[in-house]
Amino acid sequence: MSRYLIRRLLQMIPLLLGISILAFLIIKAAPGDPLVVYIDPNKPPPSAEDMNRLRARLGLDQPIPVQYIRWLGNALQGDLGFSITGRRAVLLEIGDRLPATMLLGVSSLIFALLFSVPIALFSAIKRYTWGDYLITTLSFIGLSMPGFFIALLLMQIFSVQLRWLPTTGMRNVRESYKGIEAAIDIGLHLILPTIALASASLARWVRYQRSSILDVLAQDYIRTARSKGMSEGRILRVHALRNALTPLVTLVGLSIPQLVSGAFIIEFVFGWPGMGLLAVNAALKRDFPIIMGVTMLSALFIVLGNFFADLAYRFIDPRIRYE
Amino acid sequence: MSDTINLNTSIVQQSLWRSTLRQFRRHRLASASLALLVVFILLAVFANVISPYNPNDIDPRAAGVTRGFPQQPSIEHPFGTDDLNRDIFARLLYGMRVSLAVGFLAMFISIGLGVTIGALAGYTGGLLDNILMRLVDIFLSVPSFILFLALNSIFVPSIWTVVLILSAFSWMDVARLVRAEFLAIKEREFVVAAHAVGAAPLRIILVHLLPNALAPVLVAATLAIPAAILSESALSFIGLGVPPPNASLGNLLQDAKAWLTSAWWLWVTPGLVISLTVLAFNFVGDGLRDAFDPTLRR
Repeated sequence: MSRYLIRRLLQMIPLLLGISILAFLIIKAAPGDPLVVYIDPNKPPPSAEDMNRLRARLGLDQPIPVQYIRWLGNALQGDLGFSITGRRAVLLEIGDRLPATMLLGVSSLIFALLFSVPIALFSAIKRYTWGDYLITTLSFIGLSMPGFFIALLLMQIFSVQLRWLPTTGMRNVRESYKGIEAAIDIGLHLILPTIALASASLARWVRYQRSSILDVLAQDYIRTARSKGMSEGRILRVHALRNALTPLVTLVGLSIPQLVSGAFIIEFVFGWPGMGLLAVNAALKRDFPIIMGVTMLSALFIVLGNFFADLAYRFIDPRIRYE
Repeated sequence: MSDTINLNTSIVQQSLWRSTLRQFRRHRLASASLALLVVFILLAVFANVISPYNPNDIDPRAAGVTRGFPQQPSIEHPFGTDDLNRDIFARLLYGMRVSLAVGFLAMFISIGLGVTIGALAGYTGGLLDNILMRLVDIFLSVPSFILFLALNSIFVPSIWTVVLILSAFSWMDVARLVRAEFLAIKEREFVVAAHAVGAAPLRIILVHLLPNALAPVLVAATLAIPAAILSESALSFIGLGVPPPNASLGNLLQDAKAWLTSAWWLWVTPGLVISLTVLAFNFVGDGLRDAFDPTLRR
């Protein structure tokens, strides 16, 4: 077990290095002078000498491999560079935004988990009834609608027409709530982004779990349990669900990349002040240190997500051995 | 001798395709979706013939009267107009053309890349296989959407850069699929026999190995199109996709962002068209998967 763990952890290092090289190369492929973003258009243009001094100070006069090694050395010491537009450390910029993104991500995961299991179970038990067809169709539709379109629809219905929920942001800026009121305020702002972000995962998980439950219900040991007179509810709880839900662990791990990229656009639509909004604005303004930082942090989430999913799956299912 | 063998295989192949087709037609939703897609594709291809207006033209008669505010749907403009008095129906048709083109082109390139890399890895094995599979791992763990954003802000935006960027990050599943198929069958007798009679590696790959991976690759190809359309629409919605004034389905939604509350017709119709297109492709992919699966034959 511990040998497997160590090997698996060590495998993550070349993977993360590879991702950082790929991202670095892509960002450095940018044509044009990266210094352009530093120039204030309202002031007289700086002299060539000043530009060269700035270029040397930022290390931009070095060849790309040297720049990468430097970036890597700094990154390993927790220095991800300097945001051009924010005029402060990338790590501080991201640190400010991380809690909001984590809140949105975790609440979407919980939402999708809470709803997908009972819906899939209902759909599997009532197989080939109108309820099952309705759920199957809805999950196909959920998979096919762009997340931002769902977001716009939700916003239009619940914020603009019904006026039940706030449209954008994370807090009501006109009030200065304290304590429990502030938490409720954030919670209300959280509802629509959560549903919009979770809808794709929810639809996908319902489809997987429905077929997984149906597979298990066709097994011999379920027939045995039925034939010895066990109640249907007990069969589901004791025999079927436990086995049918193990793939869910892998599904959760594998949906983290989708959740991360989904978060970028959902945060953009709702003006949710998270890492995604930061990254989108950085891309629009070509603030590459921020893009590099967000890319690596997201990659770390994805790699760790896969790692824990793998681990949990092996922990739950003893049939998988650690080679 | 060789004639009879050829004849036999052609009969077998034909009946395989025929039974697949028959199986596909039983999947009613998939067949209906295919019909809808054909209609959409025809609308997109003949957009210039069908469309009553030029999509980038500002209607001269309305200029000055309602300029600056989108017009509601009317008989003249069945889907309304945007704030520049451009006809939404025309923009939808041209937007479908762009979005479908992006979807199909990205599919062709990513499937080509995936098949090539997967075949190379599966056929050669060893070190090259190892390197290529690590590359797959890296590309699968990259948060691709943010790199789409970065890339689109780096390069001069055009339909082609969007296509290339989307393809560059969506070949990995197909590569894995083809490699697995190759590994499973490359030691089988018919492949060994082909080696023994001196067939060139390229011939073995193309004639003996690749056809076995055809069914899963076709399904993956069908599902790659809606995935590309969704990514394109998301990129264009942020403003880093297909550049204006070209209409793409995502662009239409982006143009509508300023009018979300006051002019629903600007964004509801393009959103529905994207959803319907993606839904139809998903159903067709699903139907194909079932049709190719011999265990589901009735």
